[in-house]
Amino acid sequence: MQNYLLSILIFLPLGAMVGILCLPNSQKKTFKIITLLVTGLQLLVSLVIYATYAVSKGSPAGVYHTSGFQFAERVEWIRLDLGNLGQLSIDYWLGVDGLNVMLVVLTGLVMFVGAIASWQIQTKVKGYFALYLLLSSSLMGCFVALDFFLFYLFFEFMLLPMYFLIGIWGGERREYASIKFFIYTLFGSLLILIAMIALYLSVIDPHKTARQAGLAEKSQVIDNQILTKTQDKLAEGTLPANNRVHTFGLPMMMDKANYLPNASLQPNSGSETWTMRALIFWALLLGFAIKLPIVPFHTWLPDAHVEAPTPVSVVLAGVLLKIGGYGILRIAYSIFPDMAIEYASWVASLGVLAIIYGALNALAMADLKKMVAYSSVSHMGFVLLGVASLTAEGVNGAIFQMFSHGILSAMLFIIVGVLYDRTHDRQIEHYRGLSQAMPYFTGLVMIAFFASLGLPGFSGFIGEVFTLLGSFKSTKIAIGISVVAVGGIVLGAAYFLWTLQRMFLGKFWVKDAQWKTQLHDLYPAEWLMLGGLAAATLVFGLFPSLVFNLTSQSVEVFLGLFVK
Amino acid sequence: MTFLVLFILILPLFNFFGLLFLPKSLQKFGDWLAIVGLGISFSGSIILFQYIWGKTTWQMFWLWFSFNAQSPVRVGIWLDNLSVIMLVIVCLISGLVHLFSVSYMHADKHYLRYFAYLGLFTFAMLGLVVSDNLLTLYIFWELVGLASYLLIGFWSEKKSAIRAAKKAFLINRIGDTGFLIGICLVWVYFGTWQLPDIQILISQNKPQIPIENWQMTLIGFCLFCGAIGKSAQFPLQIWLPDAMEGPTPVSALLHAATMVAAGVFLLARVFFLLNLDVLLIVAFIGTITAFMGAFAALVQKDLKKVLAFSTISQLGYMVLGMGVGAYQAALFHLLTHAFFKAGLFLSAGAVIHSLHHLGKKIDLEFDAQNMYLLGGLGQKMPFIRLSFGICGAALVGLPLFSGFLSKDAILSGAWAWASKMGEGGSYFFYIVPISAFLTVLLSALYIGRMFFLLFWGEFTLSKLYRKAENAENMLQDAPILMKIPLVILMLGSLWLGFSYTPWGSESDWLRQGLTTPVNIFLGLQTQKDLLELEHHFHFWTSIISIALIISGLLVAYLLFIRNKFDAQTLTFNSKSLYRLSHESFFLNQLYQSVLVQQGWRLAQATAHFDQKVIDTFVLVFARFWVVLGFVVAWFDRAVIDGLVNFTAAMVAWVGRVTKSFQTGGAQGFFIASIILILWIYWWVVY
Repeated sequence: MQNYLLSILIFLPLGAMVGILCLPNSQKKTFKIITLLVTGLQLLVSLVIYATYAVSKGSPAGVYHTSGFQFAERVEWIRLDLGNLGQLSIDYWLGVDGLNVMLVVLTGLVMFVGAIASWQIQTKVKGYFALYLLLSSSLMGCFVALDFFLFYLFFEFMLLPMYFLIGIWGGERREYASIKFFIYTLFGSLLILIAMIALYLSVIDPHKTARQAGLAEKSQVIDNQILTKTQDKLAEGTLPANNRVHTFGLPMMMDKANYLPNASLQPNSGSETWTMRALIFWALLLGFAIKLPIVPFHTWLPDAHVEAPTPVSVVLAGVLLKIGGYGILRIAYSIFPDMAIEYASWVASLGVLAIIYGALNALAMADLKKMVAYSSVSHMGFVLLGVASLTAEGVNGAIFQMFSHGILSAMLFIIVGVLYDRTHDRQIEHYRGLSQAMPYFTGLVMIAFFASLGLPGFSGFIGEVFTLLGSFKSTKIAIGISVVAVGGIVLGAAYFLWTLQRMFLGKFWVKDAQWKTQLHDLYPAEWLMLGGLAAATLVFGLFPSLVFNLTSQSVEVFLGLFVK
Repeated sequence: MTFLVLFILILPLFNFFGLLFLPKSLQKFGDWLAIVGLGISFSGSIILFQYIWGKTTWQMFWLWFSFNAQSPVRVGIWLDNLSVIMLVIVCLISGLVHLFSVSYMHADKHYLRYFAYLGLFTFAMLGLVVSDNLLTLYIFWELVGLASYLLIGFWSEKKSAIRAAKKAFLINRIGDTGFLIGICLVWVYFGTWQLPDIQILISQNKPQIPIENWQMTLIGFCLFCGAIGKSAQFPLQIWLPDAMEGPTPVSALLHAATMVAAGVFLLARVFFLLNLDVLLIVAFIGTITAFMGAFAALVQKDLKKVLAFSTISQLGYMVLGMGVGAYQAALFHLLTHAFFKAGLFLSAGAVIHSLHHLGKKIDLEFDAQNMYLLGGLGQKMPFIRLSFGICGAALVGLPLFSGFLSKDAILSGAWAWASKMGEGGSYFFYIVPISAFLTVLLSALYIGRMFFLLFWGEFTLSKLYRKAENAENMLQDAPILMKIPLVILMLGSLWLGFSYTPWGSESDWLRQGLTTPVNIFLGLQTQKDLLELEHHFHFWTSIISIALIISGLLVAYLLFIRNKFDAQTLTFNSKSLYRLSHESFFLNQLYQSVLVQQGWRLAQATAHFDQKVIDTFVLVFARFWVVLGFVVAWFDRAVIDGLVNFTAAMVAWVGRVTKSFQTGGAQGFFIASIILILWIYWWVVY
């Protein structure tokens, strides 16, 4: 059972989707219940994974140790003999390590919250919930896939439900927003696709190659000696081309010895091919940058958020953006550590740019949802800064920041949704003194805002402080860059407090007198979501080791890539 | 011990959560529950004081989390003389403010919430003073900021109150960025945040990675930035005068024991890592702040504003003290100031409270904080006059009062420092003591003015408003619940508690207890010399400052009482010096036009850029492909498809032509056959 938990995470919603499609249209309530149950189960399973993830010393920590992943599943999926082009091999390979385990938990949590928030969907219910489940399954798949091809498959598959969820159930300009989102992201995927093919052509799987080349007997266990022998033969060029088993396995791509000696991405080759590696590195970075998003590739985000229905915004900000950060960690940085060091200050500058630029934009927004969307841009800048620092503090902090932002942005978008549900209006200036009409709601808003602006005790603080700490500690990032980043926390406080002042404090006033009757305080479902998320941000803010215990070992292994 | 400390900390926090979620049936006891909780905390801190003071230091820490074995992040408690005395003072002042608030706030709609916030405030400050490392100190530091935000903006329907709260939080945040950078740098260079550990590392000169002097300066300055924000030093002092928008007892708490004291406390905690450059900066910032604050306090109409500017000025003294190496004197002043400033604010609160009631009784709307309207209260409020007089005397530093001891210690410390630093014949350093003495004169002037305006002479209100005729008979002195805290604070403003003699304090228990930590940048010898010099200058300092105070008070009396200097002219805006003082050097306007407006413009420009440039570029890029698509489609239709159609048309034409032959008629066939045969025949023959 334990060995199939990850598959369950992926296929459970997929199966449920098929089930929903088979039911008649009229069973509206059933769809909702099924989705809630399935995402609930998903959350449960991800919590089981969280609880049983081994963290003791010496337990496997993954990253580039092919055997170091927990809950791993690996089956050969496609194998083609391409003659002199070698053998094509694609694995169904899933596993978790410190880099993705928290993101699996986050996905479980946010999808469940999103399912609750989806309860108020009234139109085309069947399609909505089928797509929602499909989205859930591909998001999970994205985080746990260890084979680049499989990852890419899930990565692309995510676009489809997202496109329809925004395009059909969205606001007024939904079609524009959804097509923009789709094409923008597709553009990024193309870059990733190019990188994937280039990597595939350069890398072999030493295990399978050893078998294929007859360096190991059929029944013989492949030990390190055989692996080294295979890799040596590869380096010498004495391994016949038709015996090379090319692979999409991500951990294999992180080992220099697995690269073909004359491959354009060969890490040890001279300066001539250096540009090729740099190009592919930037292609990957750009591809994920669009998802993260990094300024100036972020303009799809405010549009998509503003038009998307509340639960889709929650998922978009809560989970989807993290794929960008995760992809940079797992793929761009792990496979191209040399380039990561080379361009550290550039990447860090991009992160700082996002922090400041996003915050300034958020300050100027008149639409509450846009303000929150730009605050996401700003907060994800911290992730990039932390990753670029290549220090234990920075990378752990970046993972924490992703997790924390997942919780907080979900909370913020639900807050926007609460207001929008009641009045269908999101303009900040149309409300004043909401604390008098909705005191409990305002209380939770204050928690969300203060947690987001990095008040200690809440999770946002830990993420911000440790990414900053990493960037100060990093020898690759100039101190000036880090100092500018700290300025982001003032701006963060400014736009949140200003919004708080304008919308929630002061004398009660709303633009339309009719709204006064519509603005009642929270409903039980809203209580549950906001209260639960508020509790989560508090718990993780007070006990950051709940995250760091799981991540730190893998991060250490990850950082080992950069000192080799 | 751990248990006791945590117990002291938890009770106010419990107040916070407890009062927010108190069941209905218990709500009427809520305030007293809070006071009892704080009373227990106070007793606990007295017990701790007994254990620690002058006897030992005690540290306890736990692992919070870690990334790897080399750099654990810890949380811990560090009890030394400084932290236990702060514990006692914070609990005491907070308890008195609680007590005072029972009668001051009892009519408020959110009465219990107010006490809950007070609990949070107290908790945050208590946590701050017992923290053993910079990170937890920062955490509580921020919580203090949150609590002040909640309390300053407590009357959240009042626009000015929310603005003030936001301003306080944001200005503090600016200072905090510096603090945060400092914290990060400490981690980078020393690999730990535990203050005792850093102290050892510095004294042995063994940082984790080599550190140069300018980096030490940077760290010190960044940490000082935190204090600049929280302790309202130049140039970030502008939030403090606005912060009086909160309820007056809150101001008492905020200006005395919590919040603003935190900055000075931080300086004391990191005193050992401030190098000479930083100390110089600290001294000058303190001097400037002290002078500016006192100068701005001179002409304010609002009685709470005078007190707020006076706090800024007094904090300037403390910071100055730290800068000149008079560590003990600065902390001593922090403690004495806690009493007399709380006393002054609570007295002001009593005045406002009482006049507010009066206004309600006679149905008159007037600004109960405008000193020009409130004259001549002394007759009807003798108790408040007394408390205000005693606390004010302590503030200006009259002999027999506590302020005399602590302020003179700072002054002679500054003098000692200037003479030590200026040994080479440089008079530059004398700016600090001279300006500090000047500030003494100004303090006497504004306190004198305030005292005379409020309590001297006849009841002004009845002269100004017809409704208020004979209203002075309805004026009530403070109720008993306000009197109790004031009596205690009055006692705390006398020299008795702090010193054995009213003249000097060098050898007294308090200053003996607060030993100056070794600052290796100054050097042990220099620190000793400074202390000796301070002793040396003490006598003359006292003489000079007494002379200054008396002349200041005299001038105030002559100006405001004898000559009624500006009592009648309420709008007295023409003189530029007056404007400079009233507007507090126009710092607010400067920030408004530079930071706020330009920042807002920048934000709008960014948003504009985002929409018009970046997003438009994306759209144009996308549209380019769409247009290209149309072109290709046209090409496809017109050219490629055209060719295909042309071919097809050709075939069709040929087909049509040939088809026309096949009419199916026998005659046609017959003719065709004949033609064909004839043609073949013709071909064969020739």
